[in-house]
Amino acid sequence: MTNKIHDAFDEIEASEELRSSTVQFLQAEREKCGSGQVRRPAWRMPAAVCAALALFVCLGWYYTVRVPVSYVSIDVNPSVELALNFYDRVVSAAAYNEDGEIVLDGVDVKGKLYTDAIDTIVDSSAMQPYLTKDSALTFTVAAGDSDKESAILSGIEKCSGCQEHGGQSYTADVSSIAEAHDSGLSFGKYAAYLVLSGYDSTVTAEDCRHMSMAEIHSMIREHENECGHENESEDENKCGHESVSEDESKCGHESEDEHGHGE
Amino acid sequence: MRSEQEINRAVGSYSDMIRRICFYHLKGSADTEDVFQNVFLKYLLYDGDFADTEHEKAWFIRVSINACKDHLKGLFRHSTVPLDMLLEEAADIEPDHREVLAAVLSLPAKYRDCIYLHYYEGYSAAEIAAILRSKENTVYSLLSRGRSMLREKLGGDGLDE
Repeated sequence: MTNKIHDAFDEIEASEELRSSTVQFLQAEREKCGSGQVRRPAWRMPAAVCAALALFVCLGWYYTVRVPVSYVSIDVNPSVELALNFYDRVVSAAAYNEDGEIVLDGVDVKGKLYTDAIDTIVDSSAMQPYLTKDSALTFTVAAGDSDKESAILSGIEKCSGCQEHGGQSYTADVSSIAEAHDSGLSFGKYAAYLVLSGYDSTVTAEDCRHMSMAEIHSMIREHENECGHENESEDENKCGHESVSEDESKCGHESEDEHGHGE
Repeated sequence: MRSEQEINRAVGSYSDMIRRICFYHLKGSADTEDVFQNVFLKYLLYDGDFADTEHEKAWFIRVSINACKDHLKGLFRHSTVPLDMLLEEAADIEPDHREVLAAVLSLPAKYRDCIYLHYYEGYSAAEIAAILRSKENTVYSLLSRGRSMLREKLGGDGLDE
């Protein structure tokens, strides 16, 4: 029977006509290929379009959901940075000092809207010891887009965490973030350091790393006051530092005459 | 793209095999020509290298089987042409052989590849499994069941294992 199956199939052959028509067909396809008109299987184009579309959707999803486009630095003494995606949700949260690590250990803010994340962090039990009447709760926003920064600042000012604890909010240049991290500081504290170093060039980033925001602000305030007096009689350029922060606003019940980073 | 010389060699070497695969999968000579040509077109455009002629032959078998299945799927032609019509195409085949072919072609599609590859091309179950990208045990089962069905159809003549 095995031989029968073999012999039976042996009778099926490709005719000379089929072979020659195939060779001619392939010759024609080869010529089309040479002129860039090669016939591709009909499914190939829709499949390529679908693949491109799927790639586009995946990249779009990845960009809008996973890629950080704006950043919020929360500094008291704990220094914490939130990276936000296109939808202002937290992609990642990082601590830039030990106090910040303790605060982040107790909360989970990933995926939360930044206002909810800020409230969660500010209201966390680990944060409470740092939120005294002398502390300086500082929010610094970097987005590389002034409209986006304004929108985030506006959101922060409406946060209960910001209002209840009299937080101050600023903006900073996105390009300063890498420099800040190289110095081991959150970009919010680094922005304050830049302002302070404008007054006192002996102050280093390392010094600021061990200072609370209230201490840095206090030193800035002292220099501003000195400048104010000196300006009355001396060289104005002495105090002519440029603020890293472009925008400054306060929320809550802090008095308007308290100092900020800006002029 | 393959050279003209490569194409001529492949047409010379594999035409009969592809024709047989088309024969037990498809139900009409016009379809056979389409699929037959499409298999060689894939070869013309295929840039990969083959380790040896066995590798190339296995590639042709797999591409031919897939091309036949795609063609049937695409046109919803499952079982649309009766077996008799198919065998009319092979009217000049010896009656005994026609009976055997009819028995093989009457098997469900999943058995035919295994029966053909084992009894005609001489592949072992392991080799068939590699070509069809299936499990060896599945191939053994299909061969065993296919043999039983052929025995029923062709009478008591035993098929070799």
